[in-house]
Amino acid sequence: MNGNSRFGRMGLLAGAIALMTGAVWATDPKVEITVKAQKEVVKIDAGGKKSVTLAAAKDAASGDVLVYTLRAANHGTGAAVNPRIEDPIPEGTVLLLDSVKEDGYGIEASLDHGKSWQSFPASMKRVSATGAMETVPAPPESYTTLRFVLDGPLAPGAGRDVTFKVQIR
Amino acid sequence: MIKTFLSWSLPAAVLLGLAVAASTPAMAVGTRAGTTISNSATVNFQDVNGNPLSATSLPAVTTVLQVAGALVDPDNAQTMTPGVTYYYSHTVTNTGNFDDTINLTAASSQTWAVQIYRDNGVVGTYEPGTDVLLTDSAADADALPDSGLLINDTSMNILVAVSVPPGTPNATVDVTTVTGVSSFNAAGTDIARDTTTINAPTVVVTKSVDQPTAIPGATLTYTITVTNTGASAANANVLTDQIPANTTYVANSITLDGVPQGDGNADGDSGEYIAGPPRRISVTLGNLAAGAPARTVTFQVTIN
Repeated sequence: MNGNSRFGRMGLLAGAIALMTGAVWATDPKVEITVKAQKEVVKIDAGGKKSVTLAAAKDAASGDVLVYTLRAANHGTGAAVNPRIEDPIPEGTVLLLDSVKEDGYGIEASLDHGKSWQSFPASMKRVSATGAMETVPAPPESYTTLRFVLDGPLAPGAGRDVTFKVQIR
Repeated sequence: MIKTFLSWSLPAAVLLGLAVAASTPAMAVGTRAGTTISNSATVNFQDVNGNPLSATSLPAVTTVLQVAGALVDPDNAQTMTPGVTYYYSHTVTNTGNFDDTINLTAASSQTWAVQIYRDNGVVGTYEPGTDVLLTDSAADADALPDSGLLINDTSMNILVAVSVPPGTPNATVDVTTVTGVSSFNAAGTDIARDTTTINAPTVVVTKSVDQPTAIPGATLTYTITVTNTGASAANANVLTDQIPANTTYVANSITLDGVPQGDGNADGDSGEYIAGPPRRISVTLGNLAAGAPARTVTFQVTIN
């Protein structure tokens, strides 16, 4: 029978699939993200001088400051467009507002677990002592989530770090 | 809509106030030991065609260590008279981040008798039978009196009984230190101080004679003054004085504050001569308030 032509058709199909996947590979961004937790170790020398070093935060005590470094790196073959890193403030900690600084990325904050967003630092409405509505800076413990909006696309092989600190309650 | 918003906002504002108050730098309420603090981040992005993609990190996990903390409050101060026991009230708080047992000791700087009671009844009031002596609990079984199992961030009440010995001099100051120490880690410790100042009577007696030298047969007049220079009343004072050897008491010569006193025991006045032995006079002075005017007693003898 016409075994050849059948094989040829199958070969054509396989080639087309190979071509298609090959085309996807060529432009596919694959961003991976890691979180590194470190704790601040404060030492006071004999002269009363304070120095802060960082240590791995496998364990930590109440009141300790944790430094989180979030790294987004593009392991893919295409650019990752509009990359945003979203990170909930871990349970049992309070965000240190001073530690949140724009550095090649914009920062947005949520006070309601990501339902709504505003630019950092966030504010909130409340009823003042006189009964009028007033807008006040959101206290550190009201922050639930941070979002880091990276400037520009992440090219293949490119990575970005963002960092912030929390204090363990 | 506005109404709903306002009714929601009001409790939110109250909550906000609480949250701010609770965020003072010294965090008394610690995250419980063993709690894991987990952080997992997500990255959202698009490919060049605008297809949304995302990736989530493995969590970075931090375990909260066990940290001991004890608080004994407040410091107290009290003025007391000798022979009295005062009960100082304290609150003992486990400020650590786990359920701990806090050993409690009290020591008086004057080495007076001190005891610690568990304040089971009305807080701050000693109720015999209800408030019981603090003992070692099975929670740590280390032979030291303790709080028993104290959940983290909870308190118990104690009474520290400070007993002032009778006869303690006026203006004596005692500081009893009440120390709480975590039985898990001695670094979790606190001290409260109970300062006791003694208001006691100080009775001062002086005696003089009108003639420094005299010949046999002469009459001598002795003058005795009694004053209370202390800070509290001296009650039921009785002055006695022996008649010197080689002299003879002059009958009915006792005076009290210038008023002649009979020698009899039941003659209705304060003075009395007792033939002894020993031969002596006795004058009942009664109560002397702090700073009251001096009482003056005189009597006479003749030289044999």
